[in-house]
Amino acid sequence: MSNPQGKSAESAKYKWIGTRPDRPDGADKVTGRARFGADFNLSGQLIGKVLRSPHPHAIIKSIDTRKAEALPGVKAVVTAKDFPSRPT
Amino acid sequence: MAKIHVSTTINGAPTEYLCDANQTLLDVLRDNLGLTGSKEGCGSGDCGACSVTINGRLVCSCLVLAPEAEGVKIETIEGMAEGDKLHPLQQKFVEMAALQCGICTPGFLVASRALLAKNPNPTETEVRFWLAGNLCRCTGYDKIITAVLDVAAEMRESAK
Repeated sequence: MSNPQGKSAESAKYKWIGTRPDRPDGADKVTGRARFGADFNLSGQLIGKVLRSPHPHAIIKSIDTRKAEALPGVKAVVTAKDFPSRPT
Repeated sequence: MAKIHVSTTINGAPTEYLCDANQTLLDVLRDNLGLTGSKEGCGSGDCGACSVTINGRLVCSCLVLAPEAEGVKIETIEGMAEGDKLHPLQQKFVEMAALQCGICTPGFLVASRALLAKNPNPTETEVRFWLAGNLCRCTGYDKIITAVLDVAAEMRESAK
């Protein structure tokens, strides 16, 4: 639904310029139908969790991931060491 | 741990589910029942993205334990439109561009509807106060407040 209110003679030549169309994703977003990333569940999907440092501006000397890896259901624990190409 | 069986009513439909004792109502709505319109923004009752009503009372579903829903009536964003016909609040939010990314929108709409059910003639201050439990990080609040006030006026007019 476009709203031609206040459309000038100049903009009347155009299809969209000077109109006030409703956003195309509006209806999906106001009804809860819109699917965001967190709204998807696929079969076999793994869930990732981020553990952040409890200390501001600390220097990470080492991270012991053994206890996390031993938890039931944990498939992997990933740290910066797993990305050697990225400067830490 | 044994699952807990819960019989409840969601958007008018009798619903049963099995949940863990420590699951939140939001988790059950989203993960067990596939009602993903209610969003988890913070999980601690600060942002209001998970707002639903229980027996007409506005609550953060992330702060309600799923077993507590036994025998109550829950309304979520999914029950707001009637088929393709948007609720006046939903229509006005779209028309007035009172949304951008849309994560906070279901919560704002559920909260606004609860406000208008309680107070059909709110002042701007009352709307702002009522919606203080809903956070929006992109649209800003003015368009949302204006939309709610406009709908309140229109609904009062059509009720005459």
